[in-house]
Amino acid sequence: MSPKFYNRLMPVAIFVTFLGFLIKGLYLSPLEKPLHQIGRSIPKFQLFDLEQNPITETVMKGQLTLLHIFASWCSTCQYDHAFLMSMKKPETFNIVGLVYKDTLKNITEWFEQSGDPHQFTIVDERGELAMDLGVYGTPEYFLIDKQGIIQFRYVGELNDSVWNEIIQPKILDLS
Amino acid sequence: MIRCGMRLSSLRFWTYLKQSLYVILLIIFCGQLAAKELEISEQLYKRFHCLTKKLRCHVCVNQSLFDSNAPLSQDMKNLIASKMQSGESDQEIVDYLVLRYGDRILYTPRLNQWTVVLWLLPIILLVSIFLHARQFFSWEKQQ
Repeated sequence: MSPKFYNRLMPVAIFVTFLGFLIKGLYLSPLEKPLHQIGRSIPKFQLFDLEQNPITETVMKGQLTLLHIFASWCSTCQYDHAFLMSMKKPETFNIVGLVYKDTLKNITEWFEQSGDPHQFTIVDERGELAMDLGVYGTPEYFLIDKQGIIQFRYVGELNDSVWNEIIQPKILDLS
Repeated sequence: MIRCGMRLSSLRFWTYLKQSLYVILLIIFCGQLAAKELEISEQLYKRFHCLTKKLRCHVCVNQSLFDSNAPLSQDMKNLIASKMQSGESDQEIVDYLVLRYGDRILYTPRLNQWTVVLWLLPIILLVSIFLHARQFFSWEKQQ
C-alpha cells in the first residue's frame, strides 16, 4: 500500500467504524436485557401473605416459580392480571405474586372483585424485597428454579406474543 | 398625577415585598421539608452527596440519583443513607447496588470484559493518531 493511499484511507476507515458504533448505539437499550440478576439466588425475606401469615423465601423453592411483581396503582398490571386470570392454572410451575409498594387492603379489594391468579402472594408494602431484587418498575417477571436461583427476568407487559415467544419457551427449558 | 403615581408605586412596593416574603417563606419551608426527608448528619451528608452524584437514576435515565425525585430514587437514597449510618463503606454500598441494579447504575463504568473496549479505545485512537500524524509529516518532508 502506498503511503498516500494509506493516509487517505485511514481517517475515513476510522470515521466509518466510529459512525457504525454510534448508529448501533442509538438502537441499543440497556433496559431491555437486565442480565445482572441471573444466577443469583433469591434473597432471604420475612413478609406476610394476603391472610397475614408469615411467608419466607422457602415458598419459591422446590418448584419452578414465576414471580410476578405488581401493584394495584399500575395500569399495565390490570392487563397482566386479566391475562394471568385467562390462563389455565399451570401444573409445572407456581405463580407467586409480589405486591410492590401497595397496601393489603387495595389488593384484597381488587382480588375479591376479579380473582387471584397467584398460588401465593407476598405483600411488600415498603418495597424492600423488590429493591433487593433490583426491581425498578411494575410489572416485572422473574423465573426462579427449584433451587431458588433466578434464571430469567422479563420487564414489561405480558401478552400472547410475549408469553408464547419469550416466557413459555423459558419455562419449558427449565422444567 | 404625582400623588397618584406615588400611591401606585408605594402600593406596588408593598405587593412586591409581600410576594418576595411569600417566596422566601416557601423556600425556607421547602428546605425544611427536604431536610426532614433524609435524617442524616451533616458529616455524612457530604459523603452521601458525593456518592449519589455518581449514581444514575433508574427511572429518569439521564439524571443522577441525587437530583432525582422519582419514588424509586427516593427509596434508594433512603437505603444509602441508612447503610451509611450503619457504618458501611461507599464501596460496599456501590457493590450492593450494582449486584441488584447492574453496572448501568454507575456513571463511570467499571473495567471488565464488556467495557475494556470503551476504556482502551481512546488510548488506542490517540496513539494511532499520533503515529499516523508522524508518518504523514515525515512523508511530506520526503516529497
